[in-house]
Amino acid sequence: MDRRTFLKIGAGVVATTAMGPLPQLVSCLQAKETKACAKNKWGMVIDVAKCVEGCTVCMDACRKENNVSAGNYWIRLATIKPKVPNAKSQPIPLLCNQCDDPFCVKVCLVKASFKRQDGIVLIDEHRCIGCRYCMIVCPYKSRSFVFKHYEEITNPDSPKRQHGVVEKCDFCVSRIDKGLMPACVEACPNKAMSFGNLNDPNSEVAKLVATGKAQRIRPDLGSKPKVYYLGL
Amino acid sequence: MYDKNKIIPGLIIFVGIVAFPFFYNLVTADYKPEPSLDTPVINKMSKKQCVRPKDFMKTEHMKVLHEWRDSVVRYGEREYGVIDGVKYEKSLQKTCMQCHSNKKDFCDRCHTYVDVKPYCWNCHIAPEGKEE
Repeated sequence: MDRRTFLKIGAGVVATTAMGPLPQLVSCLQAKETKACAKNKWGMVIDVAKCVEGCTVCMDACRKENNVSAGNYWIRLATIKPKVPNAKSQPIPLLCNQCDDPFCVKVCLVKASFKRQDGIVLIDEHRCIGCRYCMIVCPYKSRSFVFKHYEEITNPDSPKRQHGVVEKCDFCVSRIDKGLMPACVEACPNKAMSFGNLNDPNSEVAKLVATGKAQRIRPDLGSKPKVYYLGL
Repeated sequence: MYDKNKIIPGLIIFVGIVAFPFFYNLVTADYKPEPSLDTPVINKMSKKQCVRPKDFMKTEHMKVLHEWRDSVVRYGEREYGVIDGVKYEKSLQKTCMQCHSNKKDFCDRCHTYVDVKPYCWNCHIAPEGKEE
């Protein structure tokens, strides 16, 4: 093989490899009309000051909407303590932070965990093999393993999870695709949670984030979480 | 070959005995799984049709479901399209089972016959007791 042919073939191989991401781009163009396209970036702002002590409305609503298995939580009450002297520990509703650079997706062996183009981190339960690497790596401990088959169904329109997979908050993705709010946001009696498109500067969440008062939990880890907290 | 007269008839008899069940079933097997279309929604339809032609669905429904699954889960494309003015969503529970609300007499008849065990129903909820 002379040098010219070698270079030609090499250029061909490089060009073909570069085409790899093309299907994704094309699908994004096709998905223009759906809520899942990259022009959206869903985020949430939770005003902890509006949270009432002992209130579990968001957790109950989540459980009811998503048929969450017994003993597992998609949103739960967690106690955090800022790393400053004399800081008070504070209970906050903690859910999957839908990181923009999610560790769980990086470690998933079978690509069951993935980030949709609108930034929602999802688990393809059809693919999950239950290795639980994602649970180890999640900074928010927002994933839980389904230890046994759960029979109780609270929402017949929504699937449940089978034994041996990992489950977590999906921002109520089927509701978002329909144009509805996540169940917890809708259920909160004090409107402590707001949800919307961070890419849209006129949305409520984008405005709240723009004030600069909204804080994230452990942004220092670098996973770029998209759930913000006010009044921490 | 020594003992040709014994070996060749012996082989023929042996193959005949081993293959007997196949020939027997070829001749006698008349059981065909017939998925029932007798559900309230289908009975009301003036023109009985699925999202794709019947013969296609018979052989390819699993591929259709896989395509639907991937495009819904991965890309959030939930709309299948409009057929005769009816909008169809890509959903097993909300589209397929809306008409075929008789899982036992529709899905299970063939699946039991060919002994396949799709894991759909481990998570998705069959319309039991919802209709009829």
